Amino acid sequence: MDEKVFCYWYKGLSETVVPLTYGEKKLAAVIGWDGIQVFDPGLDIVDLCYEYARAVEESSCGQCVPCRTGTRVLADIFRRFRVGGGRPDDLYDISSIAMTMADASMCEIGKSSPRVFLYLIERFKNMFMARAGDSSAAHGGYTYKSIITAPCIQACPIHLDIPKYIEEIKIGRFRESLDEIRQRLPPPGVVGRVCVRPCESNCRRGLVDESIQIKHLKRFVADQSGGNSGKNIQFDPQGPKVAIVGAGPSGLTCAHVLAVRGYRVTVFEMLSEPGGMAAVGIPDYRLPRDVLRHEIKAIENEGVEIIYGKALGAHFTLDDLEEQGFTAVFIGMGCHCHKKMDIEGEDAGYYGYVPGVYFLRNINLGLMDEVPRGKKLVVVGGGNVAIDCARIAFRLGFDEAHLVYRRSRKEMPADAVEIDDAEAEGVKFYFLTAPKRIIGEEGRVTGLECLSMELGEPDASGRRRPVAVKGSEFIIDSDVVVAAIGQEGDFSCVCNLPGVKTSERGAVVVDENLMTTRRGVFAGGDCITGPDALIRACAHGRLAGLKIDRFIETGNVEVFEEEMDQKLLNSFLVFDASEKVKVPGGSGRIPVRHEPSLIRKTDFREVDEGFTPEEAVAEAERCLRCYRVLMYAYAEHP
Amino acid sequence: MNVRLTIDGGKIVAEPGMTVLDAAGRSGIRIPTLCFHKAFSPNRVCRLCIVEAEGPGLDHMVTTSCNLKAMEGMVVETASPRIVAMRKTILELLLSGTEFSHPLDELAKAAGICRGKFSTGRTDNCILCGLCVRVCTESIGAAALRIETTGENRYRVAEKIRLLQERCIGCGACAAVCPVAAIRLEDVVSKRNILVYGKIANTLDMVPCSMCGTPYATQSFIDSVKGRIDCELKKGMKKLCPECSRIVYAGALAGEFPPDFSGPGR
Repeated sequence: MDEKVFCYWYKGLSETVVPLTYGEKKLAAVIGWDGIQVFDPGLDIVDLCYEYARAVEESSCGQCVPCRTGTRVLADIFRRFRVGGGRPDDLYDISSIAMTMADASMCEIGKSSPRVFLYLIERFKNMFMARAGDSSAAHGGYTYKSIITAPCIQACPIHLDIPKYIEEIKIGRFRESLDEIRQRLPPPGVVGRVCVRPCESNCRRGLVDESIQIKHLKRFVADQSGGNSGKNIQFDPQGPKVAIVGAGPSGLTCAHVLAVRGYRVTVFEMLSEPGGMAAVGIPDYRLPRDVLRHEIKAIENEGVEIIYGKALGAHFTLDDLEEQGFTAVFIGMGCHCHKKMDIEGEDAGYYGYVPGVYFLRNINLGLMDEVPRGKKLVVVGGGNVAIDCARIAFRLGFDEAHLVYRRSRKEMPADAVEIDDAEAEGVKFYFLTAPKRIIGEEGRVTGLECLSMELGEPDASGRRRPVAVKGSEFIIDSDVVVAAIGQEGDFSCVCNLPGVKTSERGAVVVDENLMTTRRGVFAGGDCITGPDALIRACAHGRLAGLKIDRFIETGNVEVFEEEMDQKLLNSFLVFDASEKVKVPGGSGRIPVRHEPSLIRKTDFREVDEGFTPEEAVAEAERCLRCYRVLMYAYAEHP
Repeated sequence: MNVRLTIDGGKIVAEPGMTVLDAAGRSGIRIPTLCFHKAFSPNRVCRLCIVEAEGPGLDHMVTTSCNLKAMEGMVVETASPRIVAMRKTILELLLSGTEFSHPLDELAKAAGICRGKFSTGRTDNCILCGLCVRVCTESIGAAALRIETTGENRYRVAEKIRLLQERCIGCGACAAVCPVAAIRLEDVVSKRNILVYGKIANTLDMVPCSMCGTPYATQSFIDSVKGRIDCELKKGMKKLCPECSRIVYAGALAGEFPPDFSGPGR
């Protein structure tokens, strides 16, 4: 048990030692919540223990006694060992403190971090004993850095410090909570309403009873600060200018990041309304327009100028922007295209047939003449757009809304909460049903012929492929058929971009630094990924903003430390869905109030009501604060 | 419906919703705690009230009893060797980080430990339980106390207690709930000093009793009380120290003074 190169990791790693790297650097060791790996035999274990104990001490929130004082005392004991002041009975203290912390601390910093010390003082007992009172042992020569994460932070595309802002809610500091979110994410009120919340599926509280309603807490702090209108930023009138194409989630996040760093930012928006897909792709009853406008106003107050009615490729080109003196460009165009169903009648030009994206867009832009009307509506598709189209039908005065989906309910990609809400409002679902033909008379849609399906073999996505049942045709009478089976397809919006390479599908091609093949032109959001979640677009916008800042400052783009941190963290299991979390359960979510479905479905008022301060604090108190500290070490002179 | 559980081998009946700490206390089993106060929801920070618990639907675990709801069939150990050892370590850590205080030393004596094993360089006796902040904010409504951090460390939320003078009304509730006397009141003649960590954090003038003339409360505290009561009660309120008000109102009950008696003054 004395070999110097070893791996002890509780879960997710094999016993064999596979050296890890950090960017270009070869790592000497990593130590964390679940164990330790040492790759460099020259590394001193006592040094590593001391540095890790220090990092944990600095991450302790200081609320509970075992962690606040325990981490301090542990760091102190290891510091003494380092300089030869250790005593043999210190090992007993280390083990009793580490054991007490692991069992009796309030949150995961205290519970998860000291476990590795218990292992190390057992494994290297002789070495520790020998080091007691010996000040001659060599140390140094290595650099130690720590990274803090949590399962929710890890799942969040923009890596918001979720436990931190929940903690601020818990102690009643709502303003500080919002500041924490806004550091990375400028539209918290928007994301707090429509996020797909990958964080909540990585929530350890969910392993006890129900996951924390992170999205609603975010909305709560955003709503609390009704008056937050963004800071006035002083920018240099002669300073570098950046152009942003598209006032959607990614573009505006990028604009915010650059504006607070003093750049002059101009956003070119094709529509007459800011917000991109958040404005025209999401109905007002889920995301009220004034919430969106308010948060965009806050970004404008930071000195960002938005010019409406200008589309790249149609009204101006990248060369024009260059001529106008923009040092860098960010392309954040959305994906307003739709996928065709490829069925009979789709191209017949019937009144009443409409793709879902256009349906929602025209309603949201108030172009009601373009919106087909009638009494019965059928939507084809199982995503959030399909659900939105079905629910919005009642609000337009339709009597019936039907939704046709070719797989079963559990395969539906739409948010489960949305599906439940739609059902409560009276949307009729046809699962395992596929469209076959749009029926029309005298140029108007009169119905949709459908086919029943059954589930066959699993396909590439792992979901069982639906297969048509012969002779099962039936007709749903309808005046309007909405196709909402996805926005994939060609990116007809991305064209006429000289020097910018696009993929076969039409997506903009970017390198690892989000730069396109044209130097100084960056891109992010749906135009590089295809239709995706709003939070991922924001994450691209933020990162691109930081890259542009670096590009203008140094003339170069490079991978940031935070990206390398993520890459390293991805080698470990931050969230273990099979973990047995030892916390008494039984306190489920604080229910979100909403208006009765019969009343709410007749108008566009917001369906969900926000938390009251008392509800928000109670929900925040359920958070287990699962911070984890990972430390890596590398040799200073390899 | 009442729940039946076992605590330290004894069968106990608890009312629904009762915590294990409460249920044990009513059966004469004392679980040590510093940060729990029955007027508030559990703070869960001193961790002294840890117990081992298991039951139907509950894996065996170590958890704080102040926020653990008693459940049917639950088996709880409040003083198993494991718990006693951990509690001892927590006390040693508490003693290392704080100065002398009576309740802490009592607990230490009971656990058979003497102070000074570890040292963290703290020179106050605050255990950062936050009860003072909560009483000031939730009960008094003054919000004059805050838990603050000192350093640059962005994860640290608790380091020390700070008093905001302009908000403090000098009621003394903080000193009353503090389990370790880290906040104290000192009334010197007509001044009230509020000491946080042994240093005067605020000084307020006290108003004399209209009967005996002894200074008895601060004006802002009297105003705060007035702001919370209805007109009828306000009319009957007199500036009396606790001793004089006892005499006056007891007398009024016995018919010795007319009810609007306002005292002889001085």
